[in-house]
Amino acid sequence: MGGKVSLLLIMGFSGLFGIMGQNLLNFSNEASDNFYDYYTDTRSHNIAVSGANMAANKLFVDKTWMDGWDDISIDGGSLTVTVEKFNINNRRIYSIGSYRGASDTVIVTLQPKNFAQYGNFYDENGAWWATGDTLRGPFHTNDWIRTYGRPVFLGNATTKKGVKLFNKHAHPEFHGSLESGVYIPLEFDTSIIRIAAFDNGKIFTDTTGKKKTTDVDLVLNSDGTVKYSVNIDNKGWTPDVTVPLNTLAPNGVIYVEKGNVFIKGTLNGQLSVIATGKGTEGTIHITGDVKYNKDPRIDPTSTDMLGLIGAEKVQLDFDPTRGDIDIQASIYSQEDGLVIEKYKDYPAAHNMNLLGGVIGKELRATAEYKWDGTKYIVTNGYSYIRTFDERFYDIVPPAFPNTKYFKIISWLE
Amino acid sequence: MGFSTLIDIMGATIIGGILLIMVNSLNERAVGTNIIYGNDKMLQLEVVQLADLIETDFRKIGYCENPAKVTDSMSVILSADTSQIKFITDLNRDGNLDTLEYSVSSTAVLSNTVNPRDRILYRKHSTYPVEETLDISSNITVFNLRYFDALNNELSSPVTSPSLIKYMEISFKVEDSEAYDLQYSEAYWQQVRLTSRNLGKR
Repeated sequence: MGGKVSLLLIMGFSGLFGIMGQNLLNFSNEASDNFYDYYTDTRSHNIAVSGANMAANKLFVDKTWMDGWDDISIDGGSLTVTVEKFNINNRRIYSIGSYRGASDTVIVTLQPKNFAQYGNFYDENGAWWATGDTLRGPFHTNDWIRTYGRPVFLGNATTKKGVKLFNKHAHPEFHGSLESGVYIPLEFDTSIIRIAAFDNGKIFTDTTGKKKTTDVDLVLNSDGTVKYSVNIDNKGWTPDVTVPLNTLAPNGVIYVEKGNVFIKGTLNGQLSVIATGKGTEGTIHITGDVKYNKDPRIDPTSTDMLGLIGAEKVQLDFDPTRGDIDIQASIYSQEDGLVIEKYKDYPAAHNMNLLGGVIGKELRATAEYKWDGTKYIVTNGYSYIRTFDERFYDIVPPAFPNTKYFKIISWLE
Repeated sequence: MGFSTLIDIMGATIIGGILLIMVNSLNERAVGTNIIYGNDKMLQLEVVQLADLIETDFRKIGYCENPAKVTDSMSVILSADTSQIKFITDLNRDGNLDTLEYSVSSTAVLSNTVNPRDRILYRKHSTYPVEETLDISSNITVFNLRYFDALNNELSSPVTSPSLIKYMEISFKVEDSEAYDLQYSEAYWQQVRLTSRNLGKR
């Protein structure tokens, strides 16, 4: 009798423990499953992100890369990447990461990066950006970003070498993103602009075929015309000719072969002017205000835009009587920067109101400073007051040089 | 039958009593363990669902199907505080900008629960003209956001210049609204470094 009861008790308790154990095991298993699902989802997501990064890097190295990858093994999962073209020059990367039944997709959109899409681009950057400097638009240097105090970078900033802080009090403000290790060569193929000018623009060259220096003086008029004259081999200027800009260069590209350009006026339309050559040639001389007929900051419908491209440099010519100056253009200076001629010789300090961007080999001094006991003040020359023309994110002056790289304009995870 | 039988009955009664006490105690522990394990599981499920949602939303900060609509002059993060953030995004990928806001209520809103710390986590999605506010969790006891600039310096909250934000640390904790035996089950999640690639893409 006692034996049977004991047996029943043991069986009863075993049953009870079994049911309880099963319940607890279920809880434990479901909690583990829950985290396993999260883990696999995260893992597949990370694989997809890695694939997108790898593909973007491939495209940065080789703009023509379209191969993608098909079901390659990575980090215990698999990765499929496809690259497609759209809007002619844009690319879209689809990266699908899979890991043990879970999968995730990352879509990245890229478009060619144009030099006009920089507010400031310097191959070399010896200057220390300091308190009071506000840099609008994207910034890039193939050097250090040197900072003193609290300069403000409103756009995306990229640098090859990184950020150098002058001391522990340096606190630069990066309102856009900051990326180090980014190298973008300051180079472009002038033949592309020449072809554009040959196609439907205007080429100024030595018509005698002797390849002598050809200087061109351009005065832009607000009615959409342009007055020009030419000086070949410094033999004297031809009489002025005034023509509509869209007749002179229907596609808005003026190419001066082996010579210099002297430019001022008010632009009504879209224009890029390039001066090619080396040494005493290849310089764009700004001789006075260069403005848009409709300032895009006042009238956002303005389509006026100007690109000034100097194969040697772009220079503001010395004029001590000028006072403040407005320059509305994206400026590209291959071998130098934006040069203020004889800036120390100006009798006073003036403002240079720049709407656009400066892309050059180096940042040049523009003014003479003096310590007034509390701060440095400008005594002679020009102070930059820069504003980036945000229209250049989407539209750039005709045939303005492209960088070698794409830029990421959208990233969807 | 006699004295030995009496001893047997008393012995059986004592042993039976002990067994009953053991069974009762076991039952109590089993119920407690069941409740705690069950609550743990529910909270862990909630943590994972919340983490999924938050990660997906936060990775879309500044994203728009039409990238031209996000310009340099606009800050994609509109406001940022220790327990609140509002940003521009394009949740439904229709090329129009939406705003999404995460915030938490005060503890007074859930004063009818036993847990004195629990609050409601809100997710407010605004797409003109419709505005949708969801209570996505009512078990939140901690929802903490920390912000860092491009040089990894922490920004003090509330962030006066949200455009400086480049990285975020997100942490939250969920707890039972009712305690079992004065013990609250809890689950904690933290993303130490979360960023959206669209915070500065140009």
